[in-house]
Amino acid sequence: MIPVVADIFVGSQVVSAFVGVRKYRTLDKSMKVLAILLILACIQTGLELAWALRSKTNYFLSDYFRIVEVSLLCIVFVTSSRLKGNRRSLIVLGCVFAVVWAANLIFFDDTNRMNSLMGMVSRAFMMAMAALVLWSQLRDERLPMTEQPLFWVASGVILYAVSTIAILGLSNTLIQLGRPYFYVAWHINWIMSIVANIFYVKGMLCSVPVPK
Amino acid sequence: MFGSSPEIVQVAVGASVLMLLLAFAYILISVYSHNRIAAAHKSQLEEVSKREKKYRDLFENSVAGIITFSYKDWTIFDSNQAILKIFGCDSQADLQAMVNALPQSTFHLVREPLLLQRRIDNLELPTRRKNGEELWILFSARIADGNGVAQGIVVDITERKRSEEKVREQSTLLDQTQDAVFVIDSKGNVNYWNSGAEQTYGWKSGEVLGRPLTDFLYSGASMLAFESSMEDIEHFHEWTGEHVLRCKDGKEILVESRWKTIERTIGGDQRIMIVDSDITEKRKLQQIFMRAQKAESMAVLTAGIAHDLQNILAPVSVSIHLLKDRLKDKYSLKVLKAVEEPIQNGVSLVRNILTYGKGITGERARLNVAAIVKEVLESEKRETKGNVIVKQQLEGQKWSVLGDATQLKQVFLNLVVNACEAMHDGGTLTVKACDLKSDAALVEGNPNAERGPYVVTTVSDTGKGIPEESIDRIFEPFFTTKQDSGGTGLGLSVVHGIVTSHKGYITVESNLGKGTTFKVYLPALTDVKNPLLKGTS
Repeated sequence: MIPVVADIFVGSQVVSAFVGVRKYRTLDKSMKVLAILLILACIQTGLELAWALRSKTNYFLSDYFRIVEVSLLCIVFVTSSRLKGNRRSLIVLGCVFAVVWAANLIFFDDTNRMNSLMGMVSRAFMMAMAALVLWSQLRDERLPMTEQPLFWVASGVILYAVSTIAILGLSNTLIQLGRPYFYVAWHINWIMSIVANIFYVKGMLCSVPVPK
Repeated sequence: MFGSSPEIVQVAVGASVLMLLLAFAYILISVYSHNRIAAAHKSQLEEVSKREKKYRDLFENSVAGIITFSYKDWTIFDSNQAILKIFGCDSQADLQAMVNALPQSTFHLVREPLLLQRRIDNLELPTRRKNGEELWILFSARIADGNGVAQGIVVDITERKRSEEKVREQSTLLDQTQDAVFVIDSKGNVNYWNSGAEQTYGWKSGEVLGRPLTDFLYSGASMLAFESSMEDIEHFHEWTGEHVLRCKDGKEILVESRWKTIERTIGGDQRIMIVDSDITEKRKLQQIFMRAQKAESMAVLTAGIAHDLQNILAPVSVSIHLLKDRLKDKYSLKVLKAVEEPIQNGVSLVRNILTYGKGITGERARLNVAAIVKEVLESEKRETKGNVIVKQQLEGQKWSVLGDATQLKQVFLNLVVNACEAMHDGGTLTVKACDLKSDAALVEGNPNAERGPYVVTTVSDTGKGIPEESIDRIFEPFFTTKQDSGGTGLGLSVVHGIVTSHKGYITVESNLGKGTTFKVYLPALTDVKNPLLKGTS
């Protein structure tokens, strides 16, 4: 029995992907990348569900999606950032993560288990990038922070990443304890994913429309 | 369920919640910090905006024209309304077109100091408005950056230039006038001194500017007159009168002085403009003219009286001659003789008076004045006392005069006798005769003179001189300073009458205690080769 929160989480993903598609033409470059990320996340969730319903292991989907997720977020942040030093730091972070991910895939990957280490690493990188972006946003005094799309995106990423890093790190242990215990912990992941999706949608909605 | 969960689940959830709270805190702090920074920035922006508006207002509302331009290609980047108004342009494009049409020489005038000193201060440039009117501008500029951009300020000084031109014209006019025009402050220091003043007083402008008038122009009695005039000007703001002033060469001149205060709009200190006209010569001429007029009136009056007296005395005189032939007794003849003598004296007196009043014309013949004078001196030599030295310079006199020898002899005799009588204690009598062609200066100095040849006879003595108050009256009949010694006061009046009847004139100069000089000017005939008569011989 899948908890209601998980259904809401799926719904939030579908809604955010829908908003991304709907507003895609009016979004600026960085928000377009975010919309693509949301669509891909929606697809990934759908595929995971499909694999789960056929009682097949779907952990590899999460593994592949991590590189997509971090890379696209990195692009979102780089294209939005106005500070050159900031952009460079973000690119370095993205590249380092890509190397770590590739190394993991080649040397340590076990598709029969949830890759909790890479889950933690990816959340750490996302957290670092979002914190960096949020910090750099302090210097942009053109608009109030809450009217800047990047604030909502970075805040969503931070909240989602920090709240799930511990659960992801312990995910394999939690799974071994049994589904009820896993769901207790995983509720936080779903709730914060919903919050993050709301923040992403808010980010896309307050994005300044690009003139046609 | 959560409370009965294994510890690992509690740790996972607890850690997640804790980190979530930290993330929230981080986000909230970020938002708070951003708001504070943004508020400060907004305040700064508003301040900058206010300041910009203030300077923009200054720029737009400035009376002076302000312009930003390239001194390389003279492109105008910005200009305010004032500069458009100064040049009479409607837009910046108009102004640009005008600037492009300026001559190269103007560009050189602006570019060179900009390149050398990076600035121009108060450069006065002649140019024209859009409608062709003359325009003078005061231009200042400085280089704003390294890209050839300069900022300039333009002030319309056309009116000032016109005023300066007017002042220059008026100053030239003042310099053209013969009158001395100068300006002093309330302390008497000279602020302006025109060329007329330079000519009149001999002091150059550079020598007197800033100096008090009392240092060089007023002295002695005139100092009191100056102080009195200053008091008057203070109360009445105008003063007119006469002053005797000292020139640079020490000569004193009489000036008609007109003083007027000048109201000053700037500075406050009162100025006094003084216009002095040298009336020394004019006054002399006036005195001569008045003297001549007086003499003329006296001549007419005395001639009338003398004529009547002559008419009265003539029958008496004739009757005496007739009675002399009839009466034989001694007593009657004695009485007749006693009557005849005063009658003859009376007739003689009347004749003299008529001579003064041009009543006697006499005969006119060509005469040599030097010869007449010599004759007079010869006859008088017997009369003169031994302590009077007689000097004569008569050799140079060649021209002749047309006149009555007896009358002229009387003229010179009277003058010589008067001169000798003036030298009781001895002295030198100098008699000169010369030929002179009177020039404009001589004619200007004497209203009776005409241009042409004159024989001038000068009789000078080194006697006691004539007092100034008497000198105007010496040619009046019956005026004498020798009442005690029996002078009749007719001698010089007869001289004046004879000389005048010969169309000549007589002048006198006297210094008290030093002597007197009479000059007799008689119209001459320049034909010296064939004189009809030499002297009376």
